[in-house]
Amino acid sequence: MTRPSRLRLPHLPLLPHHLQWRLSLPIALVVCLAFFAYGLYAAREQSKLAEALLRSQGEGLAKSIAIASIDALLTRDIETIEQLLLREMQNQRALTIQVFDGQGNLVGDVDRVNGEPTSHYARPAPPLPTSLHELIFYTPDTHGIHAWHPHTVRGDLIVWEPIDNGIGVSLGWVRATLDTGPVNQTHDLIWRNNLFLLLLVLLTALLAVYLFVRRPLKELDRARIFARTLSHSWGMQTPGYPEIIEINQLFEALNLVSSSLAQQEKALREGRHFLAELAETLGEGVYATDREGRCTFMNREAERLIGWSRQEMVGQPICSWLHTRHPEGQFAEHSCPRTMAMSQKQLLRDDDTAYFRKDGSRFPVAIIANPLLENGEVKGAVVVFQDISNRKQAEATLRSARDAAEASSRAKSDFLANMSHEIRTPMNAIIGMAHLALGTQLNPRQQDYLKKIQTSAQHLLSIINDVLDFSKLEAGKSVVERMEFELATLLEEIASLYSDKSAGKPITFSIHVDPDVPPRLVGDYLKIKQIIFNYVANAIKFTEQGEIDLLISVIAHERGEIQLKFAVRDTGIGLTEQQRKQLFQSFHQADSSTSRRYGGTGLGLAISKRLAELMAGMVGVESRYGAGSTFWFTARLETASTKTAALVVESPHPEVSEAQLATIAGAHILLVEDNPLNQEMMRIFLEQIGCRVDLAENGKVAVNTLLEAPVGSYALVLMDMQMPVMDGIDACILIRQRSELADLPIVAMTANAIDEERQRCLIAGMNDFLPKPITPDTLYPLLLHWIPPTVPERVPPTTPQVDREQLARVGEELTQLISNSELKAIHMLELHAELLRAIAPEHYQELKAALDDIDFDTALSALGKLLHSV
Amino acid sequence: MSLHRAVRHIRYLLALLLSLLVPSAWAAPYTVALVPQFKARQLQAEWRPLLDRISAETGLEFKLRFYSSIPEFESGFLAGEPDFAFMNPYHAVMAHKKQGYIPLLSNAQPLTGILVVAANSAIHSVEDLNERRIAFPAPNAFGASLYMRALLIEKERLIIHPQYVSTHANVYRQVLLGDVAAGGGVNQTFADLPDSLRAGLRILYETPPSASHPIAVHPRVPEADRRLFSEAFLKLGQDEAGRALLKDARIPKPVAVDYEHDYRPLESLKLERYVVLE
Repeated sequence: MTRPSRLRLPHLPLLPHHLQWRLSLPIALVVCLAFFAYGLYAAREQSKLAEALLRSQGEGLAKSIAIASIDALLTRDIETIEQLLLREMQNQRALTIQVFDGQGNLVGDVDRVNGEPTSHYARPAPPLPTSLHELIFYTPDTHGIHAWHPHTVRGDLIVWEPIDNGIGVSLGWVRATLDTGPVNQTHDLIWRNNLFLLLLVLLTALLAVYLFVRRPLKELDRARIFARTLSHSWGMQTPGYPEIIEINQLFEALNLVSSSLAQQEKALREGRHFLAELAETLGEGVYATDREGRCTFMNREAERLIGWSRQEMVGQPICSWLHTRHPEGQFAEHSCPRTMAMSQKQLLRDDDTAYFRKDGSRFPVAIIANPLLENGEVKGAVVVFQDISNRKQAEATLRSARDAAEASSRAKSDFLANMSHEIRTPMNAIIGMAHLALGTQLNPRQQDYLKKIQTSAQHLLSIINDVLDFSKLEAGKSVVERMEFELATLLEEIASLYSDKSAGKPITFSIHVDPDVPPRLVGDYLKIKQIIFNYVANAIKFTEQGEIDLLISVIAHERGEIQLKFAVRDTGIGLTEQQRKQLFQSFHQADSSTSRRYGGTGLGLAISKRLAELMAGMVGVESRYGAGSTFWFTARLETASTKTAALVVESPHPEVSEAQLATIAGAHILLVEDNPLNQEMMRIFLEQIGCRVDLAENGKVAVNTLLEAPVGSYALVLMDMQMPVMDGIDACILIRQRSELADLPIVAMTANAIDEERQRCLIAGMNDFLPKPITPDTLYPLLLHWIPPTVPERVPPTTPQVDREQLARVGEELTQLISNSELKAIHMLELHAELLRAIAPEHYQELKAALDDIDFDTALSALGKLLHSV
Repeated sequence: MSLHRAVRHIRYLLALLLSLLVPSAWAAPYTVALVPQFKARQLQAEWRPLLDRISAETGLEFKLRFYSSIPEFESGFLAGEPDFAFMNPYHAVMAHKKQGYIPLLSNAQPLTGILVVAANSAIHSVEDLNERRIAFPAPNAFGASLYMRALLIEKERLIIHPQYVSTHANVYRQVLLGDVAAGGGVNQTFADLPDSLRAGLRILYETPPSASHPIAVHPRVPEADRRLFSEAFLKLGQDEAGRALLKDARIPKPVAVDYEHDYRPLESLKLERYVVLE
C-alpha cells in the first residue's frame, strides 16, 4: 500500500502558499503599482508645470526689469536701477537680480540678505551669455542629489534677458536668479504624499481583499473539514455557500459524495447480507481460505456435506482436514485443487477428488477452486464443491449401458454381415449352378424346370437383397459414399436397364437433363442408381404403353453443393389418392392385388425413401389414377472440383465380346475362396474364357502361394473376404507388404453389402470389388479391366454392315428352336447376342425378355420383327 | 439757551474779535518753501509734521510751497515769494542780497563737501583729477557741487569735466563703477551710505566747513513772529518727538545763525560764477 507523498514546500516561497495572501498580496501590489505609476506621472507633470511657471515668472521678471531700465541705463542712472531692482525683489521668487551694462559691468546687483532685499556693490560680475540658447537654465544642485528622488533636485533658475532699445542695439543684460526651492519642495511634497498614499493604498487594498476573501476562504475551510469527516461518517449533509458559485458547487459535490457514500455503504451492506444469505442457501458447499490455506468462511451446505461445523473449521487448515481421514494426516499439496488454483492463479475444476467427512467417510466431489487476486497477488481462495456420488454412479451405469449398446450394435452388424454372407453364398451357388446346368445338354422339360429354378432363385435373390438392404438401412449401417462419377455413365446404365426390362412393350424411353446439371458429380452413385432403377422398373412394370421419361433438374446450387431432382414420369395406370398415401411405407404396394399381378416385394419404394433421406433428400409422387404417375426424389450431391478419392465405380457391364475375352486367355489367376461350391463355379467361369486358375482355400495359403511363386506369375487375385484362418483383408495387407506384389491386382469378392467393408478393402489395398453373387457379366468386364492383354485384341471389323449370311443361318436356327419351344434357344441367343442386338436392339431385348419368361410365342414374334428389320 | 452755553458762545466771539485785532492773526498763513532737493511728496512728509507742531506751539500758520525745480525755487525766493525758505548757503547769500532774507536757523554741524574716488583708485591727490571726468549731483548743490567746483577750479587750479548725475546716490555709484574718476558729495550723504558702498570709496578732498542750509525769513515777517518761530524750532530739540521731526527735516541740531557771522564770508567766493543755469 503506498502512502500519498507529502507535498514539499520550496525553501524560498516566491509566492505565499496561503490562498489568503496569495490573493491579497498580488492584488494589492498591482493596485499599488498602478497607483505608483500614476503618482509618478502626476508628480512629473506637476513638477513640469511648476517649473514652467517658475520659468515664465523668471522670464516675466527679467523682461519687465529690462524694459524698465532702458532709460536709466542710457543715463547711467544707477540709483534708479538700484531702486527698481530693490522694488522687484519683492517678488518672492527672485533670489538675485542683476543688471549689466553693454560692457558686462554690473550696474545693479540686488539679492536677499536675511530675507531683506539688499544692494551689493563691487561683487564679481558673472560672465555674460555667449549664445542665445543658454539664456534660461538651472544651476547644478548644490545641496546634493537625493537618492530616492526621481529627479535631480534642481538648483536655481537663471534667466538672462538682453536689454535693447528696440532697434537692435544691446544696452546691457538683466540676470535674474529664481528660487527653485518651492518647486523642489512641491516635488518632494508630492513624492512624500505619493509614498504615503501608496502605503495607504497598499494597506487598504490588502485589507479590502482580505475582507472580501476571508469569508469564502472560511467556507472553503469548512468544506475541507467536512470532507475529512467523510472518511468516517457518511450520509451527513452540510449547508452550502450560495455567495460563491464555485464553493457552493464544491459543497454540493461533497454532499453528493457523502450521500452516495452512504448509499454505497448501504448497498455494500445489503450486498454482503445478500451474499451471506446466498452462500447459506446454496445447494453447493462453499468455503474460503486465506493465503495460508486456513478456512475463513464456510456455508451451511458445506457444513452439512462434510460434517464439520463453521466454528470448528474456521481458522483451521481446511484442506488437510478434507483430504485426509484424520486432521493431522498428510496429504499431497499438489493433489489439492485449491493449492493448485492458487499457485497457478487461475480457476481450476476437478471432479476426481474425494473429501473426508468428520466421521471418516469419504465421498467423491466436484470442485471449482478460484484464487482470490488483488493487484495480481493471491490473497486466498474460494472453493465450491458438490457431492457427486450420485453422478458417479450414474456415470458408471451409463458407461455400462453404452458398452452394452455398443456390443449389441456390433452384434447387429456382425449378424447382418453374417446373414448377408450366409444367405448370398448358397444363393450364388443356386444361381450359378442353374446357369451352368442350362448350358448343358437338356431336354426341353429339364430346361424349362431349370429356367424356372433360375428365375425363382433370381427373384429370391432380389427379395433377399431388398430385405438385407432394408435391414441395413434400418440398422443405420448405410453410409453415403462420396465418389466422382460422370452423369453420362449413370444415364447409360439406366438406358440399358430400360432396354432390358421394357422389351416387348410399346413404350418409348427418354431422358431429359437440365442444362445446368453438371456433367461431373460427387455423390453416392450406387444409391442414386438404385433409386432410379427402382422407379424405372416400377414405371415399366405398371405401364403398358406410352412413354417413360427420366427428368433430372437442379433444385439448388450453392457453392460446392447441388441438390438435384430426379423424376420418372410414366403413362401407366396411375394411382388413386388412397394408394398414393400408402406408398413408400414398408411392404406396401398399391394394394395386394398388384403384388400378385405385378410381382415385387413391396420394399422397393420404402428402400428408395430411406436412401433418398440418407442423401439429404425426399421422395414423392404425383399421379392421377389412369393417367400415369411421376415418381421423384431429391438428393444432395457435390459438384466435382478436385479429384476425390474415387471408389472404383462398379462399372456398368459393357457387353464383352469373345474377341475381347480372347485377349486375356491364358492369364494366370489366383482364386482365394473357401467355399467349395463357389470354388467350382468360379473355376468354370474362368476356364471358360481360357484362364488358368490356381486355388487357395484361405488367406494364409494365398499369401504363401504368392510369396513362393515367382514374381509376375499371377495376373490377378480374386480374393474372398470371409475365410477361416485368415480373411481377405489381412491377406491383402500382408500381400501388399511385399513391394514386388504392390501392383498385383487384387479383387475382393464380397457378399458383404456394407459400405464399411468396401472402405476396409480399399484401405487394405484391394483394387476392386466383385459383389456376390458373381456372374460372368460382372466378372468378365472386371477381368478385362485388370488383366493386361496376353493376346492382342482382334478388333472385329465394326461394320455396320451385317453379315447377312450368318444372320440368315442364325435366324433360321433360332426360329426353329423357338418354334419347337426349346430352351436351347436361350443359349443360342446368348451366343449370338451381339449380332442380333446390333440389328435391332429393342427387338432383341424383347426377344430376350420373352425367352427369360419362357414365353416362346412372344419370343417368336420378336424374332420375326428383328429379322424383318434388316 | 442755558447761561453756560451763552457764556461760551460769547467767549468764542470775543476770541474771534481779539484775534482779528492781532495783526498776526489777521495775516494769512506763512508760506514755507523748501529747496526741491527731493520730491515734493517727500518734502511734504518730512516738513509738515514739524510745521504743524510749530503751529501748535506758536499759533502761527504755515503753508508749504513746493517748487518743481531748483531754478524755479531760485526764481521764487529771488522774487520774494515765500515767507520762510529753507535753502542752501549760496541761495541764502543770493536771497539776502536781493530780498534781504534773514537766516534764522541751521543745523549745527557745518557742511563739508567731499570729493570721493574709488577706494582702489590710482588717484591719490587732487592733482590727479586734472582733465578728468568728475560726477556731481545737481549742478548748484552747494557743498557737493558749487563750492567743490569753485575750489577745484579757483583754488586748485584744475581743469575738470563735470558730469551732473542728479543725485548724490548716483555720484557715489558712478564713482564706484568707474564711470567717473571722482565724484562730489557731502559728508552727510556719504555717512548715510550702506557700508558696502562706502567701503568701496575713499574721500580724496574736502571743502572747508561752512554753515549749513539755513531757514531764512523774509523781512516782511514781523520780528515777533520770527522770534516765535525760531524759539519754537529750537525748542523742538528738547524732546524725543521733536528730535524725530528735526531729523526728518534734516536739521538734527538746529542753532540760531547770523548772516554777518556765518554767511558774509561766502560772498567773497564769487560762487555765482559757478552757478549753472538751466
